[in-house]
Amino acid sequence: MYLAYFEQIVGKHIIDLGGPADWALPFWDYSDATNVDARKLPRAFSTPANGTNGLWLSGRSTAQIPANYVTLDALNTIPYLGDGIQSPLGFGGPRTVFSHSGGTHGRLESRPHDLVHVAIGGAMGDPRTAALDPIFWLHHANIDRLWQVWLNRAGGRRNPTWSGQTFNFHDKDGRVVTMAPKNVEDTTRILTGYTYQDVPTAVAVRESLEAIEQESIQEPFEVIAATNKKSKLTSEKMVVSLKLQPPSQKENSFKAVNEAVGNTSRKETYLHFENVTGKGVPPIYDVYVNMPNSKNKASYYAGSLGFFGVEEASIPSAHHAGSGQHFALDISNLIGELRNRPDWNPDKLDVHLEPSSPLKKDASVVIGKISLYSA
Amino acid sequence: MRIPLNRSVSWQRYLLDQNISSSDWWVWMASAVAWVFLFTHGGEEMPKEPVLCTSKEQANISLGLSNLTTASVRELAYYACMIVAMMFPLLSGQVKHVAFSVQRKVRNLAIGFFLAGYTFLWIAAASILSVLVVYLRSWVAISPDLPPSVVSALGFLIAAIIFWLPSRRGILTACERTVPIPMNSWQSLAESFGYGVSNGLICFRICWAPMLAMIMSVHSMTVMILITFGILLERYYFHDKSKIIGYVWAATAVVFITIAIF
Repeated sequence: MYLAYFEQIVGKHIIDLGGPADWALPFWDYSDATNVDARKLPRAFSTPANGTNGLWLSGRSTAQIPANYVTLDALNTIPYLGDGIQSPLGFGGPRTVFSHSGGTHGRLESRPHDLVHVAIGGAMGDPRTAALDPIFWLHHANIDRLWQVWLNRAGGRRNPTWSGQTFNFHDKDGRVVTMAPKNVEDTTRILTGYTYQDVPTAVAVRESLEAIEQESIQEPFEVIAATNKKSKLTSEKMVVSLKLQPPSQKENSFKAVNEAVGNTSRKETYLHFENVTGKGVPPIYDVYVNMPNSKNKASYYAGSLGFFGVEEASIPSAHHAGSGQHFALDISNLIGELRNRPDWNPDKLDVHLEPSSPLKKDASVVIGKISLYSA
Repeated sequence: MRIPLNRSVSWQRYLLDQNISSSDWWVWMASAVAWVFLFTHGGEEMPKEPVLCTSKEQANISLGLSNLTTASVRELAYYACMIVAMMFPLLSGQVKHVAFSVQRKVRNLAIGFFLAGYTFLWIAAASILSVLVVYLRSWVAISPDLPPSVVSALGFLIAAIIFWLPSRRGILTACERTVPIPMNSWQSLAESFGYGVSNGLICFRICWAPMLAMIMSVHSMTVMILITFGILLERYYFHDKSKIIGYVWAATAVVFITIAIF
């Protein structure tokens, strides 16, 4: 919604200044594997790197965004809703109120959304200032595009029934307008309508959450390992050992392989980072599982944590309870691979957390609980 | 894992899974049982007024305190029953958080400790509120002969004013607070109990006004049902910006005033 009205407002000014009448908000496709410069900040936003450039902003990182921060495995997710505990982690995460903070970050939000924000840094690193950076709008246009790409993949991908909440905006003439989520499901019907380059707009099938849930029974997740105390992250690497407890049911252990109901589908395993609180803009932390040394790190890579908005999430407000952030990494495939290795220990799992850059003095991160859920 | 419905899954397994995935179901059951008890025993046996307000001598503080110290377990049990009936349905999200934070083998015990902590806080809070009512009656020289409906109207008017305060929204949001709970051992039970107490405190901050209105309405069953309905709608149906429940409390105050007048 806000992208559409931003485009409308900026477009009006561009036209008033003699610009093209068909100006549209561009998107930054940082995941384009065919473009060697895709993960670099677009040139117009970095050159010249001074105040004469209206698209330049100080404080940004000049480094190229690592490739594993912008992979699109989120598009493989089918359910829209899910928190990775009571149900598989969804494309959009669990059902929440409208807030920057609280609740589990969904797949798309975790990667690439959060990671791009923190990787660029500066104003982009904090949700309270992110929109001040012009690149914010191209980043979110891409996120909006990826939502359509996800819908187009069909195979059960569909939007949920929205709660009916409405939001107010100002249009290009300064008038207050109201929109609801259901109004923006079809991009061709938003304001004057739009589509993304090379992304056709399929008819969005909207089904109620109940209809989606009734298609199959979700075997409940159970926590099989967890820390008992908080973990404070530093500029150094940290290893947290999770001792796998004796399971309540034999189906929920690594030792019992897919024997619960005789099916051969993979067991889902999520690594959760709960009640993450902190200050400032912490760096991205890369997560590895059972990594013996620094060689061949990629084969032990579980994901990355971009604590985008952690300070805001830690402070209670009228919008959220201040319980911090919650991240879930799907390590089902990784566990499957590690289990076939000779050094696999079914009683313990080592979680390695490595900062991508030093933790600044005004930043801090404390993870309330690291837990492992399996179903 | 998702199990397609066309596979052969025993109904016993299905029900077990639903029990686990809907871990809050027995909280609603406990509430229903409590309501049945209140309806069946709320005629003569249930105290019409708090033990501190049983007679015209309630203005005598020393007598009130004496009654407090000899308050029977029976009155406290009724308080607990009312809390189970009225407040437990508000805890669906919190119970699920506790349930899924711990291992399945300690799940029900952890939920029990959470609810025990919550109930403990509310019983303590309700007792303090009752004492405050006694002091209010004395300090503001409320005549024991004042029509009860006027007192009730005052209670609901206070509830409406508190509802419309700007700080209400933040307090209501705090109900969604979660804490990390260890997955097993005594620590999980201790944290669950502590979570219940802290949740009870948060809940008290948002619900003390309608509870005060209920105490000032001498625990009328009709008022209890009205308040329960109101707080459930506020919790699960209306958006946190909605003012409807505040209008309901104000309208209830008007109704009581009308009763007093006519």
